[in-house]
Amino acid sequence: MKRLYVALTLLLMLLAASIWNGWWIHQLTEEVAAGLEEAMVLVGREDWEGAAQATRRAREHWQKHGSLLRVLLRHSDADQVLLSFAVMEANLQWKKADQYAAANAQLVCLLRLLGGMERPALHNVL
Amino acid sequence: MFTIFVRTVILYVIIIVGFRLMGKRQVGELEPSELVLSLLIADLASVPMQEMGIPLHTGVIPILTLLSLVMILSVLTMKSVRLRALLCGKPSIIVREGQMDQREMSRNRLTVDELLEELRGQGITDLARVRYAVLETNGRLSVLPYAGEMPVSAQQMGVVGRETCLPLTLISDGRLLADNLHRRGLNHRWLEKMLAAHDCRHPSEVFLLTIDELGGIYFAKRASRGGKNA
Repeated sequence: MKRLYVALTLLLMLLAASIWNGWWIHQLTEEVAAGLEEAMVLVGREDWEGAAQATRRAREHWQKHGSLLRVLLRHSDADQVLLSFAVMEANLQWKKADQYAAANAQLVCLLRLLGGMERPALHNVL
Repeated sequence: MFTIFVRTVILYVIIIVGFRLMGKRQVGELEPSELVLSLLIADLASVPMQEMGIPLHTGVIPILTLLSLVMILSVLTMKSVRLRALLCGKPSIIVREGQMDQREMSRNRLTVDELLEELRGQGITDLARVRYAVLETNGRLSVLPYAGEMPVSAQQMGVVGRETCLPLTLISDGRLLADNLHRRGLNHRWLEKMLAAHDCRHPSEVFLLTIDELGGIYFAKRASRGGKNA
């Protein structure tokens, strides 16, 4: 019976960890995406300084969990997010609103896809 | 490269521990569920081992999940006969009173050639000598010949044979196993005498020394560097 309890405990721990992982990544991607949407609004108002600050805050929030994200996500996905941030920040520096908007929309979409992919939902299982 | 090295070590340790938990069965005697598990684990481990872009947990989590499920199922199958039959299947009687059960053979997809091959492997060339042949759940064929076809035992002959005794290794490849020495109630003085009787001075000169429950000794000296036994 001891083996049964050990195995059941391990299984429940794995289940709990996978549910937490899905919830945490969804939360994080939503927070970062919200920051980017805020930056996009500021670009629309031509507040370049405010947009740069909002984008930097979003990147720093993402990078604060960089190590854990590289453990949990596919490395190519984690790298793609950082690459998109770099492109957006360059566009902000040169005040290219249209290119910033495209890069911003692409990153928001990528983040939402990443968040959605980890959620414990039937469509993800199937 | 370092990543691959460390990952390989981690995955290897997990797999070894996992297979150790599965028990001592040989690969050839795996139940269907155990065979599936072995194949899955091998495949799951190889992906994160080779591909650095994939996080390690994509291999570790499914392996741990599978091992947990196997442990749970193994405990449950010990408790429930019905579940055991469902997961491991039931033995099938292929030959009964010298007659092949063709329906059972068909159900198990066992051809006549395969049956005869299995019987030949067990030294039986005539089906009429077989009382029962049972296809076990691990795929092996157990053959029970008629009583008249079975080898005569010492008991049937009225002969009192010497009981088989379990030998205990005292020296293995030059290394003294002191625990086994004490388990047999022996001491170092006895060992020194034994070594001297075989022209040895130190356990490192001995390749194998065993002693059974009745005091029967097997002594093999270590081969010299030239390859010849001393």
